Amino acid sequence: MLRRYELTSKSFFALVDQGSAFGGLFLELALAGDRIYALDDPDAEVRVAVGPLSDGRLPMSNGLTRLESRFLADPDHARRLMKEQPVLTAAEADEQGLVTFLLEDIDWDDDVRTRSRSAPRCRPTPSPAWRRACGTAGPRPARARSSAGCRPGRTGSSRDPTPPARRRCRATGSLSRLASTGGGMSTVDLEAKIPNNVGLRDNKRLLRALEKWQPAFLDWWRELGPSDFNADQVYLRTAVGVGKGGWAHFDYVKMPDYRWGIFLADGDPLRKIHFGDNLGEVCWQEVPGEFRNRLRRLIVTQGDTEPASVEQQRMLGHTAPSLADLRSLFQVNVEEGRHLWAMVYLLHTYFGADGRDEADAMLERHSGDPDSPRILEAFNEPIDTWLDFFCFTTFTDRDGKYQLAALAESAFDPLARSTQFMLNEEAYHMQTGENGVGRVLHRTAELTREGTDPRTVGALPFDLVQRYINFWASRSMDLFGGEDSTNAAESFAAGLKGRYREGDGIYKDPKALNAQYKIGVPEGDRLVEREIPLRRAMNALLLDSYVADCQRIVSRWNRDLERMEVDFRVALPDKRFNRNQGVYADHSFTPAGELVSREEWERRLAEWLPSQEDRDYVKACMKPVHEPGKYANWIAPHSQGVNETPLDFEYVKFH
Amino acid sequence: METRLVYVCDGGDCNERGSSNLYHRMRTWFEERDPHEERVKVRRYPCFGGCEFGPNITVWPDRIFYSQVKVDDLDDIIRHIEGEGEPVKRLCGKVKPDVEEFLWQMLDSPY
Repeated sequence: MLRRYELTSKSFFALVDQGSAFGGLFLELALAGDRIYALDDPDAEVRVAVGPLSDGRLPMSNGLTRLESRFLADPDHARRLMKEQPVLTAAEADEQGLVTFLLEDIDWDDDVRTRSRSAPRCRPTPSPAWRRACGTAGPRPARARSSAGCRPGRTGSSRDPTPPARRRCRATGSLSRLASTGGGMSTVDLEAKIPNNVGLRDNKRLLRALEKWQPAFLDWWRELGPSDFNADQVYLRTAVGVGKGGWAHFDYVKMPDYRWGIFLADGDPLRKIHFGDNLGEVCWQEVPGEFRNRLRRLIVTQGDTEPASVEQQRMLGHTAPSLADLRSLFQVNVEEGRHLWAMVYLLHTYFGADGRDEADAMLERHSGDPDSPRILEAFNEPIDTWLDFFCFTTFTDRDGKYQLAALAESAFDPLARSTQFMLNEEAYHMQTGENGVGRVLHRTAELTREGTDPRTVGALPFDLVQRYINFWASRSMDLFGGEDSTNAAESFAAGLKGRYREGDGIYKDPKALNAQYKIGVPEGDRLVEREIPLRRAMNALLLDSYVADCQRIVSRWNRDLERMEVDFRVALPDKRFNRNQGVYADHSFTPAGELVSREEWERRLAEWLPSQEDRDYVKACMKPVHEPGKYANWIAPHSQGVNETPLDFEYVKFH
Repeated sequence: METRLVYVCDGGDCNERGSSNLYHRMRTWFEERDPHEERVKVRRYPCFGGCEFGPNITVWPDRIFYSQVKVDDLDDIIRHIEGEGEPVKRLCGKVKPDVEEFLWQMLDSPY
């Protein structure tokens, strides 16, 4: 029977998992198969025993024992095993070369599913001990197959449909998962090492995986987080719940002790997909196999921006214009750190080993690192002055708002709930930027009214601020991607990423199938109107929402300038200006959106974008002011303190 | 009747002036009377930009922008939303037209 089993053209895998012991005939069966997967879980140990039946009583067709055949490259090892007849744990069996894949408990379900499914196309990579012991031998060597584009031991390509997983998540998986992760009103566990409302206490595997990642995160924070302030007490807002006001708890804390946690907005187990091709179906609580790679890419791209901005801003604390601003910077930084946790939670929970690799990689890439940069270009730009910081939080964090808002519409419910909660915190970051730039303009207006040239007193002239706005607004618009994008169309069709506030029902066609989007495209020396199918214009639509929002902020700044009775008005650069992505890349436009020659662009560049001289001047203005209630001369004070504190409150207590 | 969409501003200034309370009161009122949101959807909105005149509440597709709303005003606003009264004129026209226009532009999406 074993010989027939070995010679059949089918593939057999042995699963040595909880509650099993492979000895005697069962070990022979396992050895006769193609692969042996063994569970490495200290709480659920399994045993592999070499016994008398492996000693030649059930020979293979070639006359060898299965151990001899397995260890052709090391016959002494086979003889030793047969002589000693050991009883081994999974890890020991792996060391002895008896196991093809030793999988940790967190990997088990996902890896067994994806690795076994990848068999027809992709040769897996067995454990080192297996390869060492077996050489090129084995009872049924893996057949040589094309594996182009398929990393060893990883999930297959994005075209790899996995219908069973999809069926499961849409049927039984959804409600049970939601119940355990807080569908309806969730319970917040603040006492846990990782505060959460996702039931980590009951999910030991996930908890262990995240607790493994936590030290790496803290190391990253100490190394690349805010420089030199980790021992200081900072008055910070900490999330203590997901309901209204639940994230508005303030207290002093040292930043490394900040309780980064995992919070999802409360869910609705019957929430339906409200756009795209799957309109009307119940949202997914698991990742559908066919969207796995696309979703992972979306989450990784979003997640990568969170630590990136912390790295970009790490030196700013040394030149804070006030203690209140220093506090705001640190608040933004720790919350970006928490947003990274939110994305890492999704990767760990729903993407198995691949997800954990991606989570690790997010701490390995670094902003501006030429060898391992952050994914998006704007997150590799240095932010070494507070004017950059305020522009970044106004414009680049606002891009984040729109990307998160689009993901908050997602049919993948854990992603939607996670990003909904992140949006609460993101609002504070944008307010920091909007108020910051507003206070810079206000101070310059005060000086202008007095007849003082801002440059003579270390303040920031209007035209210089405008150039910074031009730079950061245009760089942030690039983050929306190409205006005509099949990728965006596919994400919309799949229900992964919706339009801004899609769920409010403000769009006429939730499938976006019956309309065209008009866009002016450069051709020669003029703009020609083109129509693209609406689905392909999802990035452009989101950008339009973003531009309108930015315009609202600029109008607010200008209302203050009007009240201050100065002539200068800020202008938002046109969406064609200074673009490196999309249809306007490789063309030259003025900030007003007029097409100009490359020569004119080069000639007027210093008029529109910050020059090195500008940057040097702004840097020279950045002097630290750490006395409570005092402000640098280039910025107006806050109108009120955070959490109703007085403006001379000691927001940061230096050690 | 077309579903009405009511946004209650959730921005910093509006929140400090009690917009969260207004939201919960309106939400509770309509949840009891229209649980499936067939007539009215009440939602929070991050910020309209009319911060000086908060708390702000908008009603679409009527294009009504209410400002400086107090709890005592809610009865009149709800009567209007329910189609039983006129727009509450004393709460309208306070913010700059461009602030309103930004919102209507988004809500009147041609798509």
